[in-house]
Amino acid sequence: MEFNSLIFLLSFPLIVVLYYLLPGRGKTFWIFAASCIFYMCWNYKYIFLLLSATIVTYLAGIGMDKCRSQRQKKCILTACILFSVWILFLFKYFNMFMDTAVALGGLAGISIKKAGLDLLLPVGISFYIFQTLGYVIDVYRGDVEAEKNFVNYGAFITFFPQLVAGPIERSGNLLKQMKEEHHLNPRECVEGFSRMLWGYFQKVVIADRIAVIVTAVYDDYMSYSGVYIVAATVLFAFQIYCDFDGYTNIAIGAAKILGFDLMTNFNAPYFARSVADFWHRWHISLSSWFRDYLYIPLGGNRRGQRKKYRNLMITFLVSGLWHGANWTYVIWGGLHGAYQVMENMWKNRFHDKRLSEKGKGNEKAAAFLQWIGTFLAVDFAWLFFRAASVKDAFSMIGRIFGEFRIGDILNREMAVSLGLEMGNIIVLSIALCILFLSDFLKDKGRIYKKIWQLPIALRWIVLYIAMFGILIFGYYGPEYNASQFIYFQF
Amino acid sequence: MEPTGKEKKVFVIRVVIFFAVFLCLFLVINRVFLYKDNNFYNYVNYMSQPEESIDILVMGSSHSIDAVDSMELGEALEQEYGVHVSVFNMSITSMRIEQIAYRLQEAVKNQSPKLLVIETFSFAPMELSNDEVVRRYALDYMPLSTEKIKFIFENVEEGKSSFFVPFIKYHTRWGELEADDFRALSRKWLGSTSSSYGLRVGRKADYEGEWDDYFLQDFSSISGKIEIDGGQKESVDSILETAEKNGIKVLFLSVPYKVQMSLPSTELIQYNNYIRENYVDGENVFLLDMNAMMNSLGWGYEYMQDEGHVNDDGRKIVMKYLTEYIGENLKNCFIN
Repeated sequence: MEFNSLIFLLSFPLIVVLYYLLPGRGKTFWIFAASCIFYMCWNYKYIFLLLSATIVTYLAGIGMDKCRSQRQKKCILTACILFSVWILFLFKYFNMFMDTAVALGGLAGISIKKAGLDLLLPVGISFYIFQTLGYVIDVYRGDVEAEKNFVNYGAFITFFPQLVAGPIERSGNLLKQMKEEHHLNPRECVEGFSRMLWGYFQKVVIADRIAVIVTAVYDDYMSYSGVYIVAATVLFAFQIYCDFDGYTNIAIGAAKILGFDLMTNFNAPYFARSVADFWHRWHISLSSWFRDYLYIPLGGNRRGQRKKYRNLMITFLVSGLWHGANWTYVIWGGLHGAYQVMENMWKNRFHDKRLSEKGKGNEKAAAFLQWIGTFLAVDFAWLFFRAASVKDAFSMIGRIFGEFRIGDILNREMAVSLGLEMGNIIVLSIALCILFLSDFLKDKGRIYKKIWQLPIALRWIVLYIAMFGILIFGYYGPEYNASQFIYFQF
Repeated sequence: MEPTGKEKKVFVIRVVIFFAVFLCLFLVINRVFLYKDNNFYNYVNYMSQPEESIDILVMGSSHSIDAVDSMELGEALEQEYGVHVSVFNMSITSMRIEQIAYRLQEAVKNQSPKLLVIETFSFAPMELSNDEVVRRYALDYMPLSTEKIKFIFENVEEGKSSFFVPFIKYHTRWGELEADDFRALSRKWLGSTSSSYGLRVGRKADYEGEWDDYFLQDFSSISGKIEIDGGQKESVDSILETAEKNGIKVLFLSVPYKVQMSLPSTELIQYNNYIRENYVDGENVFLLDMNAMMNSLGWGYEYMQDEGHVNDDGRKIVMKYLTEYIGENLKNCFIN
């Protein structure tokens, strides 16, 4: 069941009403049950996989708690990690592994018989596996106590707002909240609802509209000159941001209405002035997960520069692989790792010298160049992320440099083939301006937080305008081919 | 500080009012954005007729939209047979027999026609047409009712939500809204656009294609039968049951044409033969197959605007024979 489906829009109010009508313990049980039903609406068979991961890690937590020796704890942790990685490998990476083995074998002159697995990728598997892994590692480290109540733990893992596309929650945050009593709070409900509206605006007004252009170009890039591939790649940066942040805002807003606080996942990422800064603003729950459970255990930056660079590369290569079973994602991750290595090298070499030469006039120019440079670097990597294959990605890069005809922007026939007529382009332009303004002014406070401060009549007017704006200008329905949330495929 | 119980109650009440107002506003914009063509205005027209005021109800596809002029039929029956009747043509582009069954159940809630004329091109199989168009034209203007819900669940496989809430489809019209879309909110304005007769046909263009020998073949000797499918049988059974319950006689009318949606008139005649054999009893159920009569009518391209629809001259012929048939066989329906 997707957030932008009629079934969700009709059932969510019922979930909320029942939630607040139920007494204490019943609330958590209802969250657990509703979350399982939510997941089963997508494919009922995979609930067993989700519940298996939940039960195994729940028992692992209790097992570690009862262990007397560190060695026993480590065995349980290792078994848990292997179990989780095995599930991910089987459902997500097996076919990629086989294809690569066959291809490499072919290059080496060895014939390998391909054994494929026809398994549907369970929605959200990467998210909930990481969430369960995070919990068992936290228990192992002693950061949290093992949860004895299965309903609490089950609700934590399956919590429907964030189950299928994050944020990847930590037990120290969400699990703790599952044990607390939640009462109806009007301010939180209004803030949560406003945040959901903002998320729907990002998804159905912006992301799904951009998807038309990006899909038209990326699915048939040979028909478009380099300037269109560049334009589509720039637009994709906003598509994936609005798609993912939109989903996150709907998830955070829905959780807020239920009285839960989920972690922020995005923080105006395209205002970053370095790739490292970008990763403090983009998919924060994932980047912090990799920092805490991979980068730091590898040694982080505590063992010298070379090891730091090695750890960065490993972390980002794995991060790329997490996103999907395709070498394009690995290259995307590798690029981000390489960018940060280069940034570190640059900073180490030139930073001190720059401090002594600083002048005010140069600061703004430098900041602007950093911002543009970061965006271009990140956007270049998005090309690999979006391309269907590595070959396609390099072909497109070839067309960008070899077939860049700026005059083609004025080619009406080519523009029309992108699939959006002038009215929709105008709507998209206005929506992007609103998005830019919102991110630019975020330090002055997000609009969905300020709604509560308005007088009630004005508040209602603003909310009605937002709701009808989304309903009227949203890219959904049988006339449009609205796309699924991008991160559902991970 | 945690809100008090009273604050929470006030908040809940406000939420209910908020969404109630939203729903009202939504119903308004749903009506504004609904695509309005002749089918919409015709439906509104029907719903605004005084109760129990319609004597003859015509239902069918574009064939009967172009061939049956309600006012002409009413006037002709009065002049030639002294029968004063009110006729309403409720035909809808691409309407299928499955939809007629549901529309009839809704139509008889406020009206008690004595005669139901069903145009038989509505037996053309659903899969020959643009499915969504077929379903939309009949359903989008119906208010949500048991009949509409039943039809959606039984006939729509994908995208049910946009049939329950047409706004989901029509919200894309934000760039093409006109003044009439907003005027349609006013019952008074809608009433001013209506007449007592349903669709009025205007002058239609003449056939511009090639005149071949199609109409020279012997249509009267076609004796084969094509059985209607299970879903259509259920629909016919439902129509006849509704008709019997409400004291309505049924006249199946087949309007002359050449071919449409890959269904030539030679095949439709065979559908008509099946209907004649299985449903027509000469007391409550009748059939006027003007396709089988095309030779005796001297039918040709001069009566067509295109391969599927009659022009003005063709309409006059259909009206003449329809008037005659009703006058000779069904006049007693209208005499109390």
